[in-house]
Amino acid sequence: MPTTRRDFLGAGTLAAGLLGCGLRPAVAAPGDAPAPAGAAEPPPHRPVVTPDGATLGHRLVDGVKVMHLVAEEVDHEFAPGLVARCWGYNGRVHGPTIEAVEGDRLRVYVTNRLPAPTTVHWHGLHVANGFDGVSGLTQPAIPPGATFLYELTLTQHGTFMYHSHHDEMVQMAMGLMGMFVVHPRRPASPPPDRDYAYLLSEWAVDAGLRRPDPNEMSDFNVLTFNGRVFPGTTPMVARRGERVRIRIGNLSATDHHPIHVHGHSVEVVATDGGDIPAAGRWPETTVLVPTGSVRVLEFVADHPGDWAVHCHMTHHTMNQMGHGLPNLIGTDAAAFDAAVRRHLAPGDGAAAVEPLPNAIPMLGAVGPHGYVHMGGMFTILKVRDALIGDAAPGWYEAPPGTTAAPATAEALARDGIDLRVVPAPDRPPAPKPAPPPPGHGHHHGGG
Amino acid sequence: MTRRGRTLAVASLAWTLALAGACATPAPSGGELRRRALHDASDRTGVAVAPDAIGAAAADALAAAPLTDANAVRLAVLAHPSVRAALARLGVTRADLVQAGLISNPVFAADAIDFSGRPELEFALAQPFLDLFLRPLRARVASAELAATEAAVARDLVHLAFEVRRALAEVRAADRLTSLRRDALATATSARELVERLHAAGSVSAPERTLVEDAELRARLALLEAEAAAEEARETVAALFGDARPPPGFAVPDGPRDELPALDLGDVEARAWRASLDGREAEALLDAAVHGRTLAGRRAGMRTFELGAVARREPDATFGAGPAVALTVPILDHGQAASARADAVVAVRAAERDALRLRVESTARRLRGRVRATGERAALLRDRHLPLRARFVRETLQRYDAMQVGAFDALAAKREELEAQQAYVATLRTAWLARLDLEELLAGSLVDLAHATPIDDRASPPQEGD
Ligand SMILES: [Cu+2]
Repeated sequence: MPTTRRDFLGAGTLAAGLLGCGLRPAVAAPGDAPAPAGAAEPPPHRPVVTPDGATLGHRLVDGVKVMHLVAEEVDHEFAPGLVARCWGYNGRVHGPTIEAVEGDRLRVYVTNRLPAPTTVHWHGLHVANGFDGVSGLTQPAIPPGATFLYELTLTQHGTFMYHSHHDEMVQMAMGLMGMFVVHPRRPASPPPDRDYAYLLSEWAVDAGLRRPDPNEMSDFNVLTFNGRVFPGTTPMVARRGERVRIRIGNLSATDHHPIHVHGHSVEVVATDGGDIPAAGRWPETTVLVPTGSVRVLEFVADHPGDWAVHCHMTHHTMNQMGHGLPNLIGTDAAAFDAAVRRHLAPGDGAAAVEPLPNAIPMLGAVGPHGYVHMGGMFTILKVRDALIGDAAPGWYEAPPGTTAAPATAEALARDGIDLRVVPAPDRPPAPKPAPPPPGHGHHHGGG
Repeated sequence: MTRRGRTLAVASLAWTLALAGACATPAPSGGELRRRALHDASDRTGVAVAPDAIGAAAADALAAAPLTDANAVRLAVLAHPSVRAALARLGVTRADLVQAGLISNPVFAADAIDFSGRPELEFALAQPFLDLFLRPLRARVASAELAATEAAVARDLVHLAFEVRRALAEVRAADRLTSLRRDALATATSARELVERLHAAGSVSAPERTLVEDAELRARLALLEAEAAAEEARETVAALFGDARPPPGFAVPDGPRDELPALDLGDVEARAWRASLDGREAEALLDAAVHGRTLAGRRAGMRTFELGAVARREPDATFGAGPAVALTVPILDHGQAASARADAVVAVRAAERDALRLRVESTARRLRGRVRATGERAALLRDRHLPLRARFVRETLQRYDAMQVGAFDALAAKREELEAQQAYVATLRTAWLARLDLEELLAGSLVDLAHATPIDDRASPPQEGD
């Protein structure tokens, strides 16, 4: 039987590989963060975790943190089954998170191994104008093969971003961006127990193609958390009662993303413009992250479970949506499909064709209770009473009686639910057929 | 009769017999001529038919056999009245040849004149002699004319064989087109059913439904057209079998013939002219005209030359007899007009022969071009275009399964594949017809290109907006 995208939707079958990948631990790849040369001082902060991402390493040279970003082509996997040749930094899409401390001096070398000139803009950071990275305005573009030096003195703390500021539409559509976290030199409060960083972006990678289309202006079909789509996103974890911080930057081409956290209420504590005073915060469950902005949310993970965290724009939780398809609601989709395949597929529709290469199901993966009908900007926050290390636990096992299940006859009887009756308050009275207007007819004149 | 009279009569008879015996030129028998014509045609078409098989019984027996090309050609030769007519024309010309070898009969004349009860009687017997001198030339003219008829009859047989093969090719193409259009209708019907379901569910607008419905109707019209063409193509075949008509809707085996067998296209002009039965006919007619010109020269205005005897009994009963001669005195008409006419006929036929050669050679070149062009196009369509369309259908199905294209786009891909197959069948048909035309030409029958296959493919699928 063919495992097509259609089958994923219809029958919910799934290759085992897709399931496993949703459970990878949210840790940075160790190779990306070499030990700082000569730096023995323990950091006064808790390192930020970029799920599915990495943190850029550095070496200390005369008290200056030296970092090296290499812009290059990268074969990037959005989720198992979908790989595209993108542009990234240091072999990653997006680039590794730059992490430093307020007051640090940074020398960031940027080597351009792309076939096009590029620059790096430090989004939200107060840098010397000549290091702002706007090609043509504040610096010449870095030609292919060249290495430019950016010298940054970090006078702020907070969450920022970096991205190409040369031929932005193309280069950001290809993936040239990353997060930039600056921890406070003297924290006003203890660091959170969990500190996650996410970068939101959007892509146009048509099913079956292997390149993002940088000319797309509105119809983005791959919407990512840190360059991944569900079921390729790695869950966040927290012990019950831990304070969780999620830093969310958005460098999507056009879209703002309302990020919804299930099971908790959150507060926005900072933006890329700075901290929000406690008096200026209010509780939310969905935080709109406009493009070109950062929102930092914090909450106490006080409810155990597997909680969805996702963009609330429904088509942003779809993968590689098709367009212009007939609306099959209200028709027998299987019969419809059979009629089409009868004409197109070999053996009068009986034989399978190989599935479209480099395409993933529009929706999700198999979960503990069947198919999870989510894709794109969707991940899971796993809150548990106990965790072993930072590894993601398995599926949440709800205490008995705390999961939606078919209603029993006893329960129905107890509560007086009559399945033959739709409760009256939910049902407005049927409209009476309008009587024909008096004297209705084709009378002309006389009025 | 007196003794002298008897002597005269016996002498005359002996003379006549002597003349008759001297002039017996042998003409081929009618059976031999028919055998030769059929044999010549068989050599050229590769289908042998025995002359004595021609007739209803053999045709009926053959009509039950599978309708292969060879059987169909044989059946047409056996049963089509035009074959009987062609063979009968041999009899007409053969009789002309025999006639040319005969000497005119002697003429006997008698008169009796009454002179008041005493009759005068006169008897004369005359033998025309001009024939005797001109007879060999006349036989040569008639012989050449018989050769012309033989060539023409063989040509008609060859032509009939290729008419049959072309008609079968038309049936094959029409059947294939019909089958493709039936598939196209099935696709269009599915699309219409789907759009109706969607419309009933409230998901498709009325004008969208209308267009899909209309597309189905157009597919139906195209099928009806193809079915009518197939029926007509069958009638063309059936009509070639005279009274041995196959039943309606008869099957034509050994289709679908995608591969055109190799055909030597080298030097077709010269080969076509060498093989041309039309050419042989024209040469024979020219020959006849040349002999006719000699004949006219020999005559030189002579109409009559008779020798004979005359006997008379006078009213007083005296009897006398003696020789008689009658001849044209060519002093007023010494045959110059007849000679000029004969000269002109030679010129006409020579020029006609030359014009014919040019036509045969030009037709050979044109048909060679058609065979090459249509063969190349058919091969490209078959080996490249159709696989690409099939690949596109498979790829579209992949994208349909991946929900990147909808049902109607998917069905459109199938429709376009079927249209490509129809275009291929149209080209294949043209290729086969061009090839059969050239084969016919090389078998000796000049194809009239004005009435033959057009070079443009017929039966290409109806296009949007036609
Ligand atoms: Cu969104």
